[in-house]
Amino acid sequence: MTGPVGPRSIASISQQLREGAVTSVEVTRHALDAIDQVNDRLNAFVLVDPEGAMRAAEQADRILSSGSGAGPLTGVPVGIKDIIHMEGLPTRCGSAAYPGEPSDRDAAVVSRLREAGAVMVGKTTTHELACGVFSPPAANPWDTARIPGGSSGGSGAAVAAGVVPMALGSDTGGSIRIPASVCGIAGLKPTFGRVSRAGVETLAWSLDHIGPLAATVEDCAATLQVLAGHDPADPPTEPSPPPDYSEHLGRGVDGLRLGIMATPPFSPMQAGVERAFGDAVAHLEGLGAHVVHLDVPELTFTLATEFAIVGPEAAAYHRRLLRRAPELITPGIRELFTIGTIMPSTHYLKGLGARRIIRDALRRAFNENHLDAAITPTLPATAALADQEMLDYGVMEEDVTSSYVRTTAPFNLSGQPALTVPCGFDRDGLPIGLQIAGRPFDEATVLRIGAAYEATTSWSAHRPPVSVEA
Amino acid sequence: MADPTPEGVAETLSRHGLIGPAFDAAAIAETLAGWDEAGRELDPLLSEHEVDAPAANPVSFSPKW
Repeated sequence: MTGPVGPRSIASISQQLREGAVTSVEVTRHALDAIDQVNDRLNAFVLVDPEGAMRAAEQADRILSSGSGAGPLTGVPVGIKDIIHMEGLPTRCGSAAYPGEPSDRDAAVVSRLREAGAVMVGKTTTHELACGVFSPPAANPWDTARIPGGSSGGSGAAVAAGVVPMALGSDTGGSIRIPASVCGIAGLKPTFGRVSRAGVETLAWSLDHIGPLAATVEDCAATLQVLAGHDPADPPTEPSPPPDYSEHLGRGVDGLRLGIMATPPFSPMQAGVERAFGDAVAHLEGLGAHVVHLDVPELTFTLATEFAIVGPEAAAYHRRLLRRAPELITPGIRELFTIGTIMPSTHYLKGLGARRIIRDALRRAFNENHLDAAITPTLPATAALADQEMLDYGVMEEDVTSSYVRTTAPFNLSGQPALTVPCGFDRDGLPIGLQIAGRPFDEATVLRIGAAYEATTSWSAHRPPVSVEA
Repeated sequence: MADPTPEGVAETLSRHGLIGPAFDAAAIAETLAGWDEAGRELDPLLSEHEVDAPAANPVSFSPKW
């Protein structure tokens, strides 16, 4: 199964590498040229490492030519969000406060990618300290006047433009799924505890997740296979070994039970999103899925709960920076950290209690309806303009950040795995995402549903105006 | 954080070492009031459900059902 995306996917590049049709050196040079070609318009990469990438490519070519030891990512160029440490390269976190000194270690996920033979070409743009959905100065390949989402906005733009088939992101309230959705690609937030966060800069330790933004669902599965596993350096990681995520990708959705969630906080949504979401649900039904319409009223408390936790945890993590160099933190984020520092502890405890209630409500909804997954719009809106503050839904106006986070954060609070796949375009030609959330540690079913949808629609095959030739 | 007035906020900020022009106590007091309001929004949810406080501990948070 190679999916509809063709030559810009991990699967197709890997196949060509194994067949000897191309070398990793050639593929890597192509990726580096692609960065040169589009980065002045997209600002997807903040740092490019041509020497390190070419060394890794040469090593990958030796493994590939030896005929043994190569995996799906061997020789494939990828990007790394710039909050994830890579030995020898600076980690700037999109912040003027972070020094340009090289990191002295690899993050656990980088080590795993290196061991798998992936070629890391550079660091991708993040919203400052992974705390926002705009990711300036990165731009959206579908319309460079619009945001690529965030905080993993550079990763979203890089993959959507075809520079690399996969880039890592982090997700505290939607920061993988938001950019993946507005850039028209796939993005997976695994279950909390599925992938180690060791060596990744923290935003909120009880909500942070690491995962892939990729050209296809199959590529998300291949990447998760490499990343998943226990790590003593990140105690919440699950001790039991991960399953084979590719095993069920081609099994379709016939007989699966899907909970459709379109009430608050998933509504209101833009008219184009509503149409695309309705069509996607009908499509899944047409493929044989049983759908059940769900309303989980506890989820209307998502935003208040999310921010009650993010504020104090982020403030605690960045406390030294806040005292040492507050002027180097942009005002909105500085305010969040300041409030997080002085807010009453009861506010944080309320957030934790509400989180538990939300998690239990989702568990009940899944169990009482015997669900395999929940289906929601990934976001209620498409990509905002770079200078846009509010989104107008007719029945209400809402700031861009709250709009994007209210539909993604429920699954940060519950820790469930959640995938976004492209499911259409609005009348401005901007991508729309479909969110598939599963039972804890059941990424396999989430990926299976996403793969079935992707394989029977053509949304993932569309290319943005700013993209490179394969 | 007991005194939400600008003067009280300024004193709290100072106690935390958050001093200087980057910290406008009056503006922060106003924002804090908004956060208090958001915190109160959770009260109906929390009063409807019984949550064992240690079970909500984020350090031991598990997504497992």
